[in-house]
Amino acid sequence: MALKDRLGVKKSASGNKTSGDGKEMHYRGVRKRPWGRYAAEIRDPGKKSRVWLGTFDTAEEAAKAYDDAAREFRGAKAKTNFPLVPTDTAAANDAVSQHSPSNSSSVESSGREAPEREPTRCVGGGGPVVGVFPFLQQPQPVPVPVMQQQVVYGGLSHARGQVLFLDALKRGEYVSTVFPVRYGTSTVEFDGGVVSGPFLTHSESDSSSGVDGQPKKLLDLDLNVAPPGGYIRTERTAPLRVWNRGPRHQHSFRGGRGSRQGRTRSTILTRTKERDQDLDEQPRVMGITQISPFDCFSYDGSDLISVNRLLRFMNQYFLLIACLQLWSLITPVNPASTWGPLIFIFAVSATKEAWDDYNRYLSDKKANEKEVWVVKQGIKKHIQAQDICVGNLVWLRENDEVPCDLVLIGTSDPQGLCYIETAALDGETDLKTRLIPSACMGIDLELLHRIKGVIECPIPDKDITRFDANLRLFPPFIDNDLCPLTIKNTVLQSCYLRNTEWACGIAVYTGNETKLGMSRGIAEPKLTAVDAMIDKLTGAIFIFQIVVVMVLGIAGNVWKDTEARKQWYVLYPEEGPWYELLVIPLRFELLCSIMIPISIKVSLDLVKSLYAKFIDWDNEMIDQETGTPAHATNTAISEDLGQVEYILTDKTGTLTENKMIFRRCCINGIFFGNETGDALKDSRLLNAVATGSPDVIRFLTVMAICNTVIPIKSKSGAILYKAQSQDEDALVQAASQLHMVFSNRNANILEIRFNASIIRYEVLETLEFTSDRKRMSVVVKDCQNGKIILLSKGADEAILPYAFTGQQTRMFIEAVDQYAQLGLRTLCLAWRELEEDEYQEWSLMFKEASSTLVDREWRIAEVCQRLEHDLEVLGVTAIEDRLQDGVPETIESLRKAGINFWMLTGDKQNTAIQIALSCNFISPEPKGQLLLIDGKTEDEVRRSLERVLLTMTITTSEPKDVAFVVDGWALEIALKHYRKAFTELAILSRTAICCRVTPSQKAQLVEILKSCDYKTLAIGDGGNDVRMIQQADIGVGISGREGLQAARAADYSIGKFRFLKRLILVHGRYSYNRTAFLSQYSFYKSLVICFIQIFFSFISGVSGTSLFNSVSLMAYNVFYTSVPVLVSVLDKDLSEETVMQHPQILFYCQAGRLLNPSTFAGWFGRSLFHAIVVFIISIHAYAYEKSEMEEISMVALSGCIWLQAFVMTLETNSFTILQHLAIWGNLVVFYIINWIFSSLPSSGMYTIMFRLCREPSYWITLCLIVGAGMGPILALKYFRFTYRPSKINTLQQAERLGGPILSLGNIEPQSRSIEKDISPLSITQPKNRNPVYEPLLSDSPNTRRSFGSGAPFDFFQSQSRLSSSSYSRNCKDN
Amino acid sequence: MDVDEGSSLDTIGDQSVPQHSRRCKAFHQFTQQSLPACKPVLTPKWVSSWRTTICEGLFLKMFFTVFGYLQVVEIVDRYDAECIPEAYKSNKMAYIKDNSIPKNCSQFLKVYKRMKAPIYIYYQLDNYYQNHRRYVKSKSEQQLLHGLGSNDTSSCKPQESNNGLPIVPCGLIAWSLFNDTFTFIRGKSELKVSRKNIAWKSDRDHKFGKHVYPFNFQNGTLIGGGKLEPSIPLSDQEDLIVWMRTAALPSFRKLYGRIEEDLDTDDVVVVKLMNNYNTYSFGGKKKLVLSTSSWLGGKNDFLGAAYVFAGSSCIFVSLVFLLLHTKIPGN
Repeated sequence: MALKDRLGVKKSASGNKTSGDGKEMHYRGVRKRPWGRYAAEIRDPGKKSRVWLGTFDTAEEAAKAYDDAAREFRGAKAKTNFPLVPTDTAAANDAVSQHSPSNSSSVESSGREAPEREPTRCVGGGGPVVGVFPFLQQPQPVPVPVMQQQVVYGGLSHARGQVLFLDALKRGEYVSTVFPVRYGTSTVEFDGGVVSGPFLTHSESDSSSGVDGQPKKLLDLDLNVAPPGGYIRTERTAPLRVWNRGPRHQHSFRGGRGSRQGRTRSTILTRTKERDQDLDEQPRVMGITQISPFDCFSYDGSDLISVNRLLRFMNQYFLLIACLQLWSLITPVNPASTWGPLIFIFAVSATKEAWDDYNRYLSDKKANEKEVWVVKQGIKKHIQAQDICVGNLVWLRENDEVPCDLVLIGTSDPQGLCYIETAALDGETDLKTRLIPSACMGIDLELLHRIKGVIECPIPDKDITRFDANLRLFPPFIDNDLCPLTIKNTVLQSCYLRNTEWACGIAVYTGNETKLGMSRGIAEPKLTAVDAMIDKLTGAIFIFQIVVVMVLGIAGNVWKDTEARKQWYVLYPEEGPWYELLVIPLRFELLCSIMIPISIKVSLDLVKSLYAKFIDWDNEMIDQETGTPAHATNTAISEDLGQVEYILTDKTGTLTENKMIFRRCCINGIFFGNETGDALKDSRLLNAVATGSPDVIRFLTVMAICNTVIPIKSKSGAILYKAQSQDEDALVQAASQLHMVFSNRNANILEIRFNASIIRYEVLETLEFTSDRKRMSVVVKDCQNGKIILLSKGADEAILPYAFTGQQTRMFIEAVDQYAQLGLRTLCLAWRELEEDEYQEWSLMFKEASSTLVDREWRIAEVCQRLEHDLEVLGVTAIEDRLQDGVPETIESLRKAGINFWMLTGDKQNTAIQIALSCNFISPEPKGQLLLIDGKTEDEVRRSLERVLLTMTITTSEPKDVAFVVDGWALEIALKHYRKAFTELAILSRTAICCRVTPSQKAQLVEILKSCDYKTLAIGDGGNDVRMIQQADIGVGISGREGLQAARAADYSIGKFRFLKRLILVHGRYSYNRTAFLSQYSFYKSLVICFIQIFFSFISGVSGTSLFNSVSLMAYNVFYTSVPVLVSVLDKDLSEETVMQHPQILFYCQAGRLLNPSTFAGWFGRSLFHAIVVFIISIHAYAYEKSEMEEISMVALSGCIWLQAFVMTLETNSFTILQHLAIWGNLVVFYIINWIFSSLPSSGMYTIMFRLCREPSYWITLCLIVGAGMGPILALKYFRFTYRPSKINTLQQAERLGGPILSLGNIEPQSRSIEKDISPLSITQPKNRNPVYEPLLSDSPNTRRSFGSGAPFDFFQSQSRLSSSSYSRNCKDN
Repeated sequence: MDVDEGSSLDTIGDQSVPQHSRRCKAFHQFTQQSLPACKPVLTPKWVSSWRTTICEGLFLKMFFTVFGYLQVVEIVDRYDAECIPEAYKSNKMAYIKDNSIPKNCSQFLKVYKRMKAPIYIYYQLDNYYQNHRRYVKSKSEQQLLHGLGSNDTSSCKPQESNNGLPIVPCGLIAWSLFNDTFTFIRGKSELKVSRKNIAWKSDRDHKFGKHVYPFNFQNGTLIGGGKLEPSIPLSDQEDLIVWMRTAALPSFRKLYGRIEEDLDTDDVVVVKLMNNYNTYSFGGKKKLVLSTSSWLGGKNDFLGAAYVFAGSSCIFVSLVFLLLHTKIPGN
């Protein structure tokens, strides 16, 4: 039992030094914290450094921890708080049971604590997952508490955290102290209570000594980690299958998941085993590596006939039809006519998927079979990457790829540093340093192989910036202390080790559970508006079909009873079977089933992937600087690009180049660089540096070392800076140009060369930058004078309020304002000297905060705040971030195209407004007007929102560019309490600038616009934009300097912002146009043939005879009509240049004018007309002696094919060679195929086609069909084109005649309104879209957007007014 | 990749390897969506020139069509009603079902215009649904070609077997074989009628077996249409072959034979016919048609009329547009 271990070891319950209530003993090495906990610390005599032992609830516990550590370090003679009195477990238990759980500090501590914990652990059932992975050979069997197994059983299903044992085989006591895993608000604790055997340990100093006790079971561990619930359960039923390669079905489960998610690297199974069986097989047990080799083919089959695919409605429909056709009584045609296309279509898509799977399999195989060095049971082995299991010690050499997520424990570098390149993970190409945990410092190479310990880590997630874990090493690795692990101590899968000879680490996540593996999520399939429309149309056609079937079915039954019974030659039986009435309707259902084109999905898939390819191929979207081409990750949503209405853009790196140049600074009230525009050339600053003005020196010092930059000396001696943040890079560069050269970072020692002297600083702590804190600090110790200094830099509002009370910050505020006016990015630099004590105390808190597992970030921020106060503000730096090329033009064009722009930036308001002005985002006064929403309290925000809304409503009648500006703080209040008003505002305003917003607010804004049914596009370049990008209908990532994180998450990635114009106007628009044509044409051609069948049924006694034979029907669907239409992907209604010049034309796509019910009605009418023409003409031309069935069927079919060719011709705007080939080639193919069939004696149409082609009347009939079918359509089109031309037509005409392009006037976006009675949370009011009858030319914009009637501000009153105090900022909310 | 290749070609020039580069260039143009394209635009000039061409074409065709059909001489005579003896006018069914009543009948056809041989003899059935689904399916192509050798006659239902024996040819189509017969007399002499080669050659050669003889045909209680001579193979039973080519329309003509002599104007042809076939139960009509043929086949007023209509409407639309164009000048 947990508590026994602790007692058993060396606790003496009798060492009762506690005094009475309220008064506490002072223990050696224990300090009380202000908030009531006890911290234990010990000085390591070997390293002369303090070792953190952790915090405890009671002084006794802390004291005991100290004792343990002390004995470890100094042996039995160590001075301890309690004498070492061995106690037996029973006594301990007694002690526990007798002890009241009061909070008095009496008696012994561990006993008191344990019982409290254990029940919860037990009940929780969701304890941490425990993995033990000894790689040490144990000299003798060591019992391991049953509890571990319990955990495995109980915990797996809801594991919330996991604990990895480096070697848990004997040290129960650690288990009991370590295991509480706090997650979120609930505390899940490990179930120590289940341990059935006494858990006695031996003296600590001898780690390999025996343990007595009668352990019953042992978790044998595997290491890994808790896969999600159901999965494990299967495992449990077959625990003994451990040794074969694992149950097959699990692979397929995994594999199946993998195939959808992306690739699977390796699969690791968790299993348990009776320990007893394996006592003599110790090494094997301990080193269990159970890995299932990833096997592609086990799931391949299931994907081939993808279940998903079959589950889709359309496929179900076709499957039903195909099955019905097997019933020969009702089938009008050969089942092949449905089965053929169905099989063909599945074959096409299955081939595509199989190919993808195969490629995935190959790359998985490659990754899985890569050889890696692993230490197992103390021996270094070469194994395949797929055989790595959690807990293995993995060795990496320079330039190796990391095979799984590792916690670093050793490197070749004496400082425990290693460098990795994370480009494959986040796209950042700079080298990052990774550090071994302090606990592992200085362990030498040999010992590393024998290292033992526990790592407590969170369940696998995909956050590559966080890893909140703890490490505790077991003796003899003295630091048996909780050592916090952060992402800094890990090397993640797919990174590369650079500039480091070797490194080794413990595998913590493997296979699909690595950070990389987890982040290969299934991209949520996005449904484009066009797809949605097609689905709707399909539904409508389906209903139409049902109606037709019912009408014809009834008519058929009536005709049968009145007429057919008299027709003796049909020989209807007097009494039919019971289902007789159903036969005719079902037969018609089958006849009409072709109404829904079976080919449409496949055609769409094909053309969509071609659209995506066109984007990939586009030379004009290649960023010439970096050679990055555009890339469409999501191939299915190109049409949506053409329908974008709102673009939400990030600023830094998206609109700007993210190439920071230090321009100006203000040091202690003196402005440098104002005259020249470049502070580095300002002679006053140069002079100040030369004379060594202390202010300037301090300022430069902060610039040079308050960062995380890594200087790398190149061979030529120049220093290259590898910085994660461009701002830091700019600052360090600038400092080095001002002779403050940051020359070396050697572990914690920073070297600065200032003039000829070298100054060294030791970095004590780095308080990292987060978007909530908006500042970063370092605590350094000046190696010369030992002073401890806090250096901070950050946003003005994150620094200036913390200036020491006496300091005048006015001048800095002015400087910040002034710089922001110029569109520069400002940072305030500050510093403070710390007292040794202050630092020591704080550092303990910091350590503790950094070792928490739950809310670590928030707690760290809190602790950091304790240090960052009373700062002496040194000055302000101003960094220029240049606009990217072509940004203003792009924004202008897209705004002309009716797209509304919102800028969401984390930058400050003034900077944002300046950038907005300079890139045409907003117009300067008097044309434009900026409305500010601000306020710190709910009331203020409400008032300001009301005001802005009112102004906005008034000014909608004026041709004025109105934009609103909101900052993150006001936005949060607005979103929380005035969501509806804010939504209203969002609809009214074409432009908005949101500054100081967090990533989640960005996503919320996207969500608001989406909820109004707008098509949103989010574009960004950094990790902070990822959420917004994923939330939006279309996410565009810029593969910029901030790495590829955004580009990876996005649907499209482009190299520069200006390509957005081409992406939307050219690719989006063409895609939309083409899909609109393709889908409607698909319906048209199916309807034509179906109408002919329906008409024919009227002259065939409504009996459901098919005019066309099965082969023709099948070929018609699959080849004649669906292949040539594919070349419509090359069609261009207007040339790219024209579209770029007249972006207004995009409005047709935005409003969905080319695909909507009324255009569809047009196609429907056309199909009806053509069916009538074909049918009437062919039955009349082939009446009487020519009325042979096969012949008429071929005449009608040829008529359809010819008409289709001409329809294609008419609808094609630009003919390339491929179009001619497809349209006319298709006709040729039609005749060739039919001649082939006509020459087969066994086919039904033997000689028919030859016979027809010889007859002049056949050709005359076809001419008549084409003439009659196309004449009216051509006339109508000509009439429209000439007398009621659309804007597109006008442009076409102008473009092709080379004449002057007439003014297009104003193509206004349609009006939208929100009704008043919508609940604030769900705004799902559909837009009022009037697809076709929209007045194209409307000069007055006042109809543009309309309000619901009545007072628009009612909803303010209804809001409950909460006190502003409820707005206390809570970082956790974000 | 492709893109790079393309772009480098663009810049470096494509003369170096002409053969190779042309293909590359085409692919490059394809990827850049910049294949040379012609973009027709509906300008008035373009449209009117096309319209003129189409109208001219239509008129030309109309002329030929009408001219072609004008040459065709066609005599149609409905005989089903007239061939019923007065006594049975009110009870046609009794007449046709009673085998004891003689079914012979004479019709007089007057030739109104000279007809050149060959003159085609058709019988025409109206309101007869050979395209009914039950009917049209009810045959076995395999059996027609291979005779009793093919066992799968399930499609022939409900006429696939009788008295436990298969029927050859099976199915409703064969069972309802048309069995009226005609002989033609001009003056005193019988006209020479050829009843050979009335069926398609391809059917005779490849669809109906040369060694398949009728078997167990019309032996059931229900007798449909005509009987077949059991000693003649199916490939020579041309009436059956013609009949088995089902018509798509409820009103159809089937070739009965050819008169090999010219008929002069005002010749009177006496048709001696056996009115065996029952169309009375469902109100069908039976007609006898004598027709010459032109290059377009038999007489068909529809095509001519349609062309007249199409041509004139084309001209009408042209005029309308011309008017519109002069009155309301578009852009």
